[in-house]
Amino acid sequence: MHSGMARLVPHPRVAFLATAVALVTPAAADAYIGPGAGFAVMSSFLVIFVTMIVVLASVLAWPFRALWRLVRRSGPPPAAIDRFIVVGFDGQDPALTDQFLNEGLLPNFAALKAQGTYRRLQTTYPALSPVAWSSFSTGTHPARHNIFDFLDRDRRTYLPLLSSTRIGAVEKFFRLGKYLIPRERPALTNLRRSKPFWTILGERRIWSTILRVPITFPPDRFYGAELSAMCVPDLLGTQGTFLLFTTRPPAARFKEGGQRVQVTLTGDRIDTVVTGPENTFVVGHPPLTCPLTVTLDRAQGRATIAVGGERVTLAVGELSGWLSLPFPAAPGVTVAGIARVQLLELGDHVSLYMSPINLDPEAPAMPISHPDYYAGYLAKRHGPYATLGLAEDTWALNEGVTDDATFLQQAHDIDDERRTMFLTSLDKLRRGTLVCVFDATDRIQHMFWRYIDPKHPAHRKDVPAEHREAIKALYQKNDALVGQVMATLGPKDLLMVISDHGFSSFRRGVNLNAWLHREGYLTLKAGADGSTEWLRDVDWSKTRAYCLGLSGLYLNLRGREAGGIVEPGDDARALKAELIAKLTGLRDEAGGDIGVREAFDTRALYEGPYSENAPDLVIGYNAGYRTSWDCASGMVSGPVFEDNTKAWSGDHCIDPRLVPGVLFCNRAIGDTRDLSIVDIAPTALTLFGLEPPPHMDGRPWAVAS
Amino acid sequence: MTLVNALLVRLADAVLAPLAGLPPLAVVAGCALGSALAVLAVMRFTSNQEALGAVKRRIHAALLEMRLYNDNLPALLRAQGEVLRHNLSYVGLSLVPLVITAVPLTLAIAQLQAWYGYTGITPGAAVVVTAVVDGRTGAGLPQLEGAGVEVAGPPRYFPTLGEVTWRIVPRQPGPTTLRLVTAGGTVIDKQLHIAAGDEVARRSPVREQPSFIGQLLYPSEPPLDAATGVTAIRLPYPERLLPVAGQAVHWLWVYLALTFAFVLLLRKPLGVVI
Repeated sequence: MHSGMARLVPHPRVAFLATAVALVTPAAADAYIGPGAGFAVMSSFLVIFVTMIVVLASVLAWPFRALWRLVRRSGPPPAAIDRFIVVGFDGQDPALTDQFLNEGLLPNFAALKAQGTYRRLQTTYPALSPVAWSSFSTGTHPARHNIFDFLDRDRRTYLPLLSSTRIGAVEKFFRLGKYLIPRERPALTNLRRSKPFWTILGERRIWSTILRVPITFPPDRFYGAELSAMCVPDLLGTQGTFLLFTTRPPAARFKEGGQRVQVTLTGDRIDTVVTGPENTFVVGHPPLTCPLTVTLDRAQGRATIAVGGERVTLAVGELSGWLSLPFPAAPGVTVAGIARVQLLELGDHVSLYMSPINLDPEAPAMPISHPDYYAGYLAKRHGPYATLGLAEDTWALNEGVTDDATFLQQAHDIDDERRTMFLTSLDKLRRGTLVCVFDATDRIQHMFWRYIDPKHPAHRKDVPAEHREAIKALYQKNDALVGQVMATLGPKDLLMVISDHGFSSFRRGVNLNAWLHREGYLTLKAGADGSTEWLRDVDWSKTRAYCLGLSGLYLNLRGREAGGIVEPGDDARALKAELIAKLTGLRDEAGGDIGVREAFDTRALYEGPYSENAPDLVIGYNAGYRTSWDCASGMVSGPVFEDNTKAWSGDHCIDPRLVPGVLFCNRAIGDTRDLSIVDIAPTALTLFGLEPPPHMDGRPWAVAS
Repeated sequence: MTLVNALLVRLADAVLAPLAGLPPLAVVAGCALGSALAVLAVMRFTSNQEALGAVKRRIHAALLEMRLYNDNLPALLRAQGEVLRHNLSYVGLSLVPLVITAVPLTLAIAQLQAWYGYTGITPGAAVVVTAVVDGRTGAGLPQLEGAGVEVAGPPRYFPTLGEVTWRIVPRQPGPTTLRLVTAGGTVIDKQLHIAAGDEVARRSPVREQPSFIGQLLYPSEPPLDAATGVTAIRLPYPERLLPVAGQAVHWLWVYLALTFAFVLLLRKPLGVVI
């Protein structure tokens, strides 16, 4: 009956014997018993088989690859070092470092200093992380790497744009009923220009692992691995929007990075949804949603939060671990996020905090690593981790939604995630570069400086010791990490511990847009009071200068800005000179101090192919001062100087000469000149036997062998 | 075991006999679905799902690590070591559900083999019945008879093999009983199923003296009495092959493949880590 058909017949006796054997020895029976438990054995064998093939293939291919590189002369040149390890503590302040060194709190930093070098490290103009770390990676000043601030402006609308990344929209779709199938990928562009030194190293087959160095989104493509950092958005496409689910009546909206979601309590249960990004797979692009349920247990003072198939029971004040938030977009398509939640109150009113929804590293909606699977690899190896560029939720603390303890926990948890990744990568590195930037120093100093500055308007004495000592404790934690790294160093390894800038108190905010308005450089539309964000109240036809971002002042230049009225050339130069003269030494009469030490003409600071994109002036605020919150969000109204009463109490966006970074190195550096962050890239290239490209502004250091 | 088999035979017949009219592929697919659900349930409730998930992630991480560091031989070898180590953990975590699933599935497969492993012997086509004897044939060879069956010629004895064979020609379709009478007068029955077409029915190709493996593999008939001097009686039922995509495939492969497929398809909707 089956003649002509191929036969695939197991002998029944053999098969049954195999089954019987399976009762005592699982390994042989996998295929027979069927899946389930049998899966374990079968897939295990498959995995082992595949890995052995991979290893064998790699070993066999090794001589051919080496030969190919030799023929192409693309192999690594002779190098002075085996490994170049850079530990970046964003914002580690030299004054505090000195203080803690003198107090004997940093024994490993002290050992590093004794062994090699401890110097100040000049930062960039302005002293901002995206600018400074871009100079670190490219060895160039901002006019060559094109990053001048967190924000740039749209020259047509004067609205703010992220300075480092453009995320384009998908325009072309196939339509299938209500579904839209994208015909293209959204354009994603890193606006940082010039080559990072690890790309140049990679061209000569020198491996680099780059972890969370700012302005690496979308990631660079090179011989190595990279996890993106600053400017990676959250799932909503913002730089970090926390959610507050609350039964409390509507209140004023948050100024920074937060959304209030009104919920209703039914019995002891809240049913709501987490609203995600818009669903580009469906006509009309409705928002994606993920159901969220909160079930209260008032007797126990806790609640069970169910979201995305996960459940977690939390007491009031307890912060959850990472929870998965799947947003189904279309059949077979889910946009995945992760977030942490905290039950804030459980009384007459119920409030639940949800951290910004980070891209799920196991299935990121955007490329956040190179190679693409690297983010997933880290997540599978170490568990879920924060992917958001500015991952620590400073906004929630600033808005008083979360408290100091919650912020500290978040910051330390994220720091620990990164330490684990870093130490694993260090363990794997035989030859090449490893750079990891730890942000906790920056974030914790931003939020806890008020506790070490008795003059700060938000200073309080009645705070727990762990909050008062949070900065010191973090420096000590960093010191321990340095000790761990030093213990792994070989004779041909070079370790640098650096910071991109230092820190200072942020007691008083300066609204330079208000000052420009007062001085007649900026004019408001008729009837407008200047309280609208993003300079929407400004009458551009009568405005000669405006501020945007954290440090930049722009002329409203004809031919550059859409509504420009200042003629380029002599008029512009004269206006700049006038502004510099007026701003330098600008006094805060109420505060009794100078608010602006110096306004810098960027044309005098740096020249390069992207000079045109630079602000016309960079404002060098005095210690204790910074752009005010209103000015940063493009408001013109209010006083020029005002107290900063927010938790965000420390800052570095001041005169860069006041906030240099630190440089520790395990070898002596012979240069007597000032060392700058821009010198590190050419130094790295030189140590690996490569000639730094002529466009680099930095000059290599004389590092002792 | 005999008692267990008797119960299982009744149970299997109660379930499978009403389905005998359906296409065998459909029944095998249904059984595969049932098995998949059972396997998933066992995995869900008897394994440490969290630990299984974690170890699977680590295996995956080690595989990605091999891809990432494929120029770095020490890292590559260490990653492979990780794979091996985590695989052992994975197998260890799967042992309990493995054992729990293995027993009922083995018994179920034996029953399914009896129903779907063989086709019937065709009326009019001569076949050879073999009895394995223990060598005590001095008193004479056993005799074979059966209703609806023509025994064509005398038995033939192969001393080196210890086998006695008969050439028989079935005449009437349907179940019948072959009767083997030893020289001592002991009567041994062996079920025979004669089928004109591709009829699905319980068929047992072998009846043996008691043994664990024998009972496991051929549960349809009770074991032979050791005192009879007959070790086994064998019938040459042709194997049943299922037509799948132009191939003739043994039902067991179809069953296994479908069970795997159902498990893979259902594990995520049912939230089971496997």
